[in-house]
Amino acid sequence: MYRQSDSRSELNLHDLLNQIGNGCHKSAATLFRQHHRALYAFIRLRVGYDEAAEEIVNDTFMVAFRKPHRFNGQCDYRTWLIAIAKRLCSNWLRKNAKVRQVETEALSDDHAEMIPAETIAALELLEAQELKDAMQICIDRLPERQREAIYWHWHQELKLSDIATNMDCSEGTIKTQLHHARNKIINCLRQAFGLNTACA
Amino acid sequence: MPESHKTLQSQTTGDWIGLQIHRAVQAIAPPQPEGVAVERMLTAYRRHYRFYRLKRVFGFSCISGSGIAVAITSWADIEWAELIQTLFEWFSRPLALKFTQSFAAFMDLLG
Repeated sequence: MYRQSDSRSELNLHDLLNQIGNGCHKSAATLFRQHHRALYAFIRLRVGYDEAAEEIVNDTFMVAFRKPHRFNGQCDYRTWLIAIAKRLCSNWLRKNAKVRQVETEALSDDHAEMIPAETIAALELLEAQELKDAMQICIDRLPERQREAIYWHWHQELKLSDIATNMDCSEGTIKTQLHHARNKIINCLRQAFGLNTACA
Repeated sequence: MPESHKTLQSQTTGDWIGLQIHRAVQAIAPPQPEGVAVERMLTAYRRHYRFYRLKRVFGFSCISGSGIAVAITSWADIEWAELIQTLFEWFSRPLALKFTQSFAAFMDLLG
């Protein structure tokens, strides 16, 4: 997790925000470089489209840079940016409801824990790129909350307690979300590669 | 490689799929190179800041312009004779009082 752990980095952030308020584009570029990849991953997981994700990343930074003094330091700067991004993603999803019709209902998480050894062996034999693409498709088909939990857990590598705070729910709920997400992805991979779903 | 025809334990499956998810999400990266993305954002930022400064200058100009216009109108509306008379009264009255007091003291001294 990105944290402004020491006072020095907090001071730097404070300085950068002040400079951004005064129109310093170098400071804007510095902050952008620090956060844009993580923000892009969050938004891409949320909306499912590369172009839209890039657009929303830009919009998020512009919202943040227009009023830099609004960041009060009570949370991570990145968490604050993600809160802005969440709102922008919701707007985008509302406007593009027809575009984003992903069949999440088709994914079941039944019996995924009893995955046969040969299924994994077969998946291991796939080319890395092929597996990565399939994984991306399967992740895109998950419900929104599960995708968000995946982001915090596997991208930002946060502790469950931190994820629970960010997602405003209990640790138990996060565990359940991650468990269902894993099982749905396994079943999605089986469907995608036509692998046997029967248990030994 | 796990043994064939043997069901994996849920822990192993979870680890494997966890690793795959980790790889997949870590691999999510913007399609454009970082330099292009930075330049794109900076263009928008510069445009915003130019507009923001213009807006500020225009705002201050409007406020200053209105202030000057009000001042000119007020200047023309002032009843100058009345104002001077009032000012004169303000300053002259204490002076006259002071003079009267001094004169009375002088007369007392003379007896």
